[in-house]
Amino acid sequence: MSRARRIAKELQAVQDDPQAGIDLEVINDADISHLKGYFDGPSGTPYEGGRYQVDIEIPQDYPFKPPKMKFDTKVYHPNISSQTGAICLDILKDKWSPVLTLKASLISLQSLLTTPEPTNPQDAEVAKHYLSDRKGFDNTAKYWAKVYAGADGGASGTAAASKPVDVFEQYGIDRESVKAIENMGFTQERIIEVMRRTGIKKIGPGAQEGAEDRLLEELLK
Amino acid sequence: MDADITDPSDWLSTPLSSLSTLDALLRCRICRDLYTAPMVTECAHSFCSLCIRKCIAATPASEHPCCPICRAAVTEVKLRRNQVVEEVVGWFRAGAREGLLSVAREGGKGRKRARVDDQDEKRSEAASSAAAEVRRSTRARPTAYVVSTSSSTSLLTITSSYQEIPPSPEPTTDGAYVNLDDDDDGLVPCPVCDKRMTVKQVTRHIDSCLSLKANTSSSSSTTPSSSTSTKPKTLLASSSTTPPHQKRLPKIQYSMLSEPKLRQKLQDLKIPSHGNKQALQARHSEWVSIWNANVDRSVPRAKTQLLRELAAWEESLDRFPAGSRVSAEGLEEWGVKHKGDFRELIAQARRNLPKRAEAKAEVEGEAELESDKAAE
Repeated sequence: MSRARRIAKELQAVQDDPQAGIDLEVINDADISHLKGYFDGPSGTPYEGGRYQVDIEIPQDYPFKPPKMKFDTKVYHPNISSQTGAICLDILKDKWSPVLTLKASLISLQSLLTTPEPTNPQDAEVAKHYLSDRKGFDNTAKYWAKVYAGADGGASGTAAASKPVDVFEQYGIDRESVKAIENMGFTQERIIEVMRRTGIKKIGPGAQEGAEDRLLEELLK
Repeated sequence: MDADITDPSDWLSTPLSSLSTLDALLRCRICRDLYTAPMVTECAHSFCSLCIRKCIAATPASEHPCCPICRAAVTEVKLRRNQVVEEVVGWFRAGAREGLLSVAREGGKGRKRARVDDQDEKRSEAASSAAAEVRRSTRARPTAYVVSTSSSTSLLTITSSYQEIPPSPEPTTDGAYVNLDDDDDGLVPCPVCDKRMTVKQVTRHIDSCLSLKANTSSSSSTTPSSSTSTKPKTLLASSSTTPPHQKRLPKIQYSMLSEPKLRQKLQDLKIPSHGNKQALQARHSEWVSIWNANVDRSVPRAKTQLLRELAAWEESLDRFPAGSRVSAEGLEEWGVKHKGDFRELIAQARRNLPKRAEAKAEVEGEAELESDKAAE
């Protein structure tokens, strides 16, 4: 089958080029349609130093249809779902071409991390954060890279799951704002839950107008 | 299967690394194999007939098919055969590749045994750092439209080798370079007939030797490669006298056809006609691609072979069921497979139930479950 031959060639090509920093691995030798891809977070971005794992499912009519890719490693990025890892990238959808390869797709994902497209988001909440508070977004993205992708000597892969996670850093929520509301008698857990649901990151000076009222309204429901 | 997967990178470790470029150029960018019945598009890109036809067939009806390389519009009826490329690939595949590669590998061994040349060292260093440079630059590009890394690498290798090899009696080819370091009599055996001669002679001799071999053993040959070897004479003959039954099949507007009529079409074509309309449609479309690609070959294969190809395609469908084609049996299987997930979701919903002060009915539980999922 030409499909199997081509996949074998693609695996070989990735192996022959270790400098690209890209790895492909077959999960089960009997089934070449399910792979895992790995690449490094691009330098000069909050993702620098992280190693990202991508789940790759190769459809039966590959290479005429694009491979199905999603991030296994959690990524804080406007075009990547922070919950499911689903990716919004044109070449993995309608702009796919059969001359593209798995390696090319992974390189494209790497460059997607460098140049987010917040106007066409996959994760609306993250995109809002990116557009409204770039510095806060960068901090959160950096924190996620450290906790989930092993940047800066942080834990990587499954080890991260057992490590305590700083919820403020994780969701880009302002610590002081939560404290202020905690003083009103709400639990931290409940405040963070509501803040995540409403997309409110902080209250008080510098925050969106009416954010505090909306937050309290939600909390009192 | 691994043994018959050839790749342009096969040349890189030999002194004839420049041939990697030729090897890459003779390959279809879709299947990455040497061209089979190459067709040229309106935008002058070449693909295997079957590859480009399948690519066009896979384009959703709502979109216009486009060239996989440049995205210019392509039309199936405007595809034309790329005769010269087909002949070159035929020659390359029939044994020239194998022969040259074994000569190159022999040469590589000879070179290692020879004294270490300082200049040679420097040259290969320069080449490898240049190669690294190319790789780095490929990696940084935002989109995937890059020239194949291997071919640019070898181009660099050629230029640097031209600059730095000391003048030799035969300085024009890499083959001559092998000759310099070969030991003993300075001769190498022809990979086909084992006659010893200079390397320059081998490269010329190998063609005549191969075609001679193909001529004498075509009837009793055992390897498929020599039986399909293309001699210019047979090429001309077969292309001018195409049998009348080797006509291209027309495309069908499937939405205009009822299931029984489509089934009748498949029966008329004498291909399997079981399954629902979707299966019939997929099979017919695949068959049209296989059939038309076969007509494009200078030496078309027999229908039994095409039927085998269709059967292999059908089998691969069963082996890798796509998510979009969930049948009744598929659903049941899916239920079994995800039983654990369902159970966990139900358990989760039950755990969450008491939390709600006014837990009324199951409906509430479901809503809880959903908001829970969203929160995660």
